[in-house]
Amino acid sequence: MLDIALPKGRLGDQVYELFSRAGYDCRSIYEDSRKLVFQNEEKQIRYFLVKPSDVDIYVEHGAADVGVVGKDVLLESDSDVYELLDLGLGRCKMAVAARDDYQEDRDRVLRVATKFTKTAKSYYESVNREIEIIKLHGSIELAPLLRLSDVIVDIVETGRTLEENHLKVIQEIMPVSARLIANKSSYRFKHQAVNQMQIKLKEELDGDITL
Amino acid sequence: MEVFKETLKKDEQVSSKLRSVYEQFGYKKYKMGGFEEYSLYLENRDFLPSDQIIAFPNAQGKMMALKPDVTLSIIKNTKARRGQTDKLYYMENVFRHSKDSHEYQEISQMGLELIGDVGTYETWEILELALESLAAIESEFILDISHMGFVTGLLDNMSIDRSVREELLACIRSRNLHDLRAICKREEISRENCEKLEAMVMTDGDAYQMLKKAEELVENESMSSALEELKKLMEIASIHPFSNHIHIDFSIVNQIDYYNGIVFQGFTKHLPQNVLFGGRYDHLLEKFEKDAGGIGFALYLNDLNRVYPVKQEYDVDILLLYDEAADFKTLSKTVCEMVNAGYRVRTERSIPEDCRFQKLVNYREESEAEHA
Repeated sequence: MLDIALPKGRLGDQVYELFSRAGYDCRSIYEDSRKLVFQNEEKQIRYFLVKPSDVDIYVEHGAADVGVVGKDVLLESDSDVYELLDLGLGRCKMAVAARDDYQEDRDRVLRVATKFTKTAKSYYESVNREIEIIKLHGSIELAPLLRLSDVIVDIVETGRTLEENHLKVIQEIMPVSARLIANKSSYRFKHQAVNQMQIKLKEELDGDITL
Repeated sequence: MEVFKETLKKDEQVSSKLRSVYEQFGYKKYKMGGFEEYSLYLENRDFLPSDQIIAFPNAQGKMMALKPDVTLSIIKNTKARRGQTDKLYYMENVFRHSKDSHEYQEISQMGLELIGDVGTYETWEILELALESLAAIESEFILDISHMGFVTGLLDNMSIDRSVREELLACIRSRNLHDLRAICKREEISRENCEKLEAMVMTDGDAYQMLKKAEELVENESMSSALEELKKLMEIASIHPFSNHIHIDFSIVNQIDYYNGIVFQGFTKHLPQNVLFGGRYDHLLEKFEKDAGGIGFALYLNDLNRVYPVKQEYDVDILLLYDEAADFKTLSKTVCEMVNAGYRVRTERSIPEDCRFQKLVNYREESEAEHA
């Protein structure tokens, strides 16, 4: 039995569609929206739906053998897991954004509001810029508008939310997408099942590109 | 004193078993104090898995630390050199920062170090003891071995700076081929070299098969001598009953500044992370200006009791009840007889709430009432 942790929500739905096309379907997943565990005896798989930012914790501790998680989450948590495949789903970018009229003052410490403190720190370290981090948990876009911070570091998908709040991307940090991760012990002791899944998903993804 | 094996917790079972194994192989126990000078860890920060250390000034105002590691202290104190080898093992609790709880954690660790002359046979002895250590935990286990010279040898073939090297190593460690390809593209690393890196990461599995596969990857002297060393070790391993538990896995790469030669990690089926970690650390000894080679490993025993619970039906074999009217001389004699016969006996005036017993002996009315 292979335990798979999927992120709850829109990304999870897309990921399940992909897994289903690759032969890892589980009908009961459509039956009850409150249930968190779905099993397909015949295929020897079991899905868990967990909070997106918890997926890697389940996998690192071996509660799930494999999982799907955004690269943004992986960068923040630094989990000790294998990152086996870029699924290309939930594509967006990690970026620095500021008010439309923002002009950087290089003469003072930059105030950065973000949920992704580790990513922000390592990015600004790489460009040698001293910053002060303000950790927020949501509605990050508000911070520059209320002058709580100079800039924000956040996930940008279409850029519409930024536009509506009169913000603009001033620097792209890196592309982000969903990744297939595996527990290090499961990778060894359930090698065939994990490997098979990786191959089937890869085939399905490569098929998508050629279409 | 005879200890009841069935009352031992899993970590106690493993450590008592391994103590005798290590001593049978001639390793001496190393006992370390609770504190060590903070500067030792500060100067070798990257050797430790986390740089957060519990430090405090001692009575003389000198900065001390609660030990986060044992190897560094052993290396600092050893008189071993080439021609005079030290073989030591330890059982200690170390204090490390946990990224999950954001708190310090006390970790029970066992390990051994061989410092002095390290050649093929010494390396094999350490691998053999690593295999024995894993087998003491669970019958399904894998010892993954790799060679620093093989991995860094391939990277040496590319003209890249240190930061790119670190990025590539991070991808190798996490088997992340998609980001590895992206870095190769960005850094204009040749397609051929990139494919070799990918093939190296994919070289994991049965040791004898992988040794053949690895031959095609050899690019230079460093890689070929690394492969030679692995071959010699697997040649000796072929007569060992656990040889099929050894895998080669080139995604295992330790800290470059400290480790050279063979590096390895051990996994058991039910523990979610590697329970054993080790390797050859001549570079670390160079930093301490010691003319010696060194190799060793550590076992993390913390999770054992959670993952392998030892179920016990009874706390004692016999619960013996008495009162003031009892003849204490006979009572004492009876207890001694039962203990000598190998039973666990608890004497009480009344039945305790939390005591599970197999047999009840009542001395209160000087008569025996037995319960099955």
